Amino acid sequence: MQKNKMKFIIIIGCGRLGSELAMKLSKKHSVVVVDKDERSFTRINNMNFTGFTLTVDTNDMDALKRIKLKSADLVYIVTPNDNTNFMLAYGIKKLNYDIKIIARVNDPQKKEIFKKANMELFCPIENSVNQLFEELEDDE
Amino acid sequence: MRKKTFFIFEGKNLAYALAKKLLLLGNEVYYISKDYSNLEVLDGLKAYHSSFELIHQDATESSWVQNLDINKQVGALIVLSEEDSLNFVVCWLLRQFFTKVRILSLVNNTENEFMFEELDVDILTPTSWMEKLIESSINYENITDFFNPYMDKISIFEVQIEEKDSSCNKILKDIALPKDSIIGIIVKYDDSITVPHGDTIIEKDDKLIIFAKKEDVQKIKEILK
Amino acid sequence: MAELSNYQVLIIEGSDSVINLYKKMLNTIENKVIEPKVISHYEELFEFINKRNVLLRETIHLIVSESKIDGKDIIDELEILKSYMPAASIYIVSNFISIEKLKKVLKFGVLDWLEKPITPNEFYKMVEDSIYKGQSYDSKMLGIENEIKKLELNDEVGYFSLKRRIVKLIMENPSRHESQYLLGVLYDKKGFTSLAEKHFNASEALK
Repeated sequence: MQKNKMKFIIIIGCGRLGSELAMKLSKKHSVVVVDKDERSFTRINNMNFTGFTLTVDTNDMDALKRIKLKSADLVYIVTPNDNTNFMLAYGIKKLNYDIKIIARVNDPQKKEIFKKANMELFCPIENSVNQLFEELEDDE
Repeated sequence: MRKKTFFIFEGKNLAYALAKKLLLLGNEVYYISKDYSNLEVLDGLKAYHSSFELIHQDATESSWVQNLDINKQVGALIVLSEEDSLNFVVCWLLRQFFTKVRILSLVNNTENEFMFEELDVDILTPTSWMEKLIESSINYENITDFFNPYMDKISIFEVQIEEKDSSCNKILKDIALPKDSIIGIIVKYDDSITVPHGDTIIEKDDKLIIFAKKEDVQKIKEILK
Repeated sequence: MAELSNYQVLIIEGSDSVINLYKKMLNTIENKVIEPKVISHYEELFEFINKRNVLLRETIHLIVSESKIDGKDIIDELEILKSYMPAASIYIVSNFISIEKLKKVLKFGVLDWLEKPITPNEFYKMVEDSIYKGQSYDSKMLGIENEIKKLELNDEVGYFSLKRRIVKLIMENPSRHESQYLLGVLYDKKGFTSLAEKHFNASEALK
């Protein structure tokens, strides 16, 4: 019945990266953005964000149960704190819901532990450096 | 107690106090932190103790943790930062490489406790303890619930006997306490300690230390008082 | 240009981002375009429920509403709205839930209270139940009420058919007094006064 089925995506962390990700994904999908500080939502609200924003203490694993993780197709964990991202990813994984989790790792040196725990990750700093490097190589 | 080696990860004042205590007992202590201000605080101990070493290092670095020398001499690894997520990552990483050693961690938010228990880490939860103490001082008057590792199911508590209490001057075997509860120790008026038996008489000013199931505490209070 | 659907939806919600999401989800449902009415401020809601003649002419199939707008609790206003639109399916989507409020709204006919964030699946189910599963309890009641009025006294088949439908509704909605009342009306029409009384009393007891 639904034309193009919308995905239900949860983004944990509404800093600069989280905001941009939320804006982009919300064009086609149903996005929920979670942050422990409700002031972080002013940015996306000013950009006419379509979706839900929730203020939840991201250090409280229990509080995360409120956000209907079970129904999510994808969870992006993108807070600026690598330790928080690890704990969240680990905790959500343990809840055993069949959802795809992608975690942000800020410090490339921390990638090791995420890899060890079998978590899908992305590292913005490393990606940017690689991209710049490739551009340089292309120029030569 | 034989001399052991302890590793303390992060933490400031708590780490300082604990390190000092352990060192005074003759143990070897390593303190690890990535934070210079923490290291400065702990530096004060170096002057008086030779078996104390400071290490400036981020304990979430896999390659470094892997190379730690955790031998039989090690008593425990203690993680004390104010940030539960940092503690979690350190505990998880330590467990990846060292399955047998005892790991203790501070857990600030009670909601996060279950995450650590999964890793077979002993948790230190001051928030829970304070909650219990406050709760018991409001509820039980003369009865104080002590911290015990089986907190969820067993209560270890103290009842002070007054002259007006129904159990005062009665013989222990005549008092019908619920099944699976026991008066473990009686502390007499002069602070001497006895382990009671069936013929012991309960006297005024006795402090009874009782082990019982959590749900029986109120009932026992009523029976004794 | 896509055809305009004649399915009418009213959204009562203060947050623009949520309104836009609902609109977006509505438009991935049918091939026809659904353009919902939106009330996003308390004053608008107040004005809306006070325009009685306008309300009575409105046909709204689905109402998706918050329980608070502009900081004000709007459950009483929703009750008024529902009384003017008995055939509409009302769903509350809000985190300000409590047992008392839930009981209160279920009593006046709200179909369900969902918490935010509402997932696409929950939203679609809500809309489906409202469009496709046919009528809500209230519209069935209205239909039956009209049929009882038109029923001829010697129409045995019609009588039994109506009786069966009302009894089915009573079994499905045991706490609703309207169906007991209607059964009483039906019996009364057929001259079964003591039976009718029994159900009128039952209806009163449920109120």
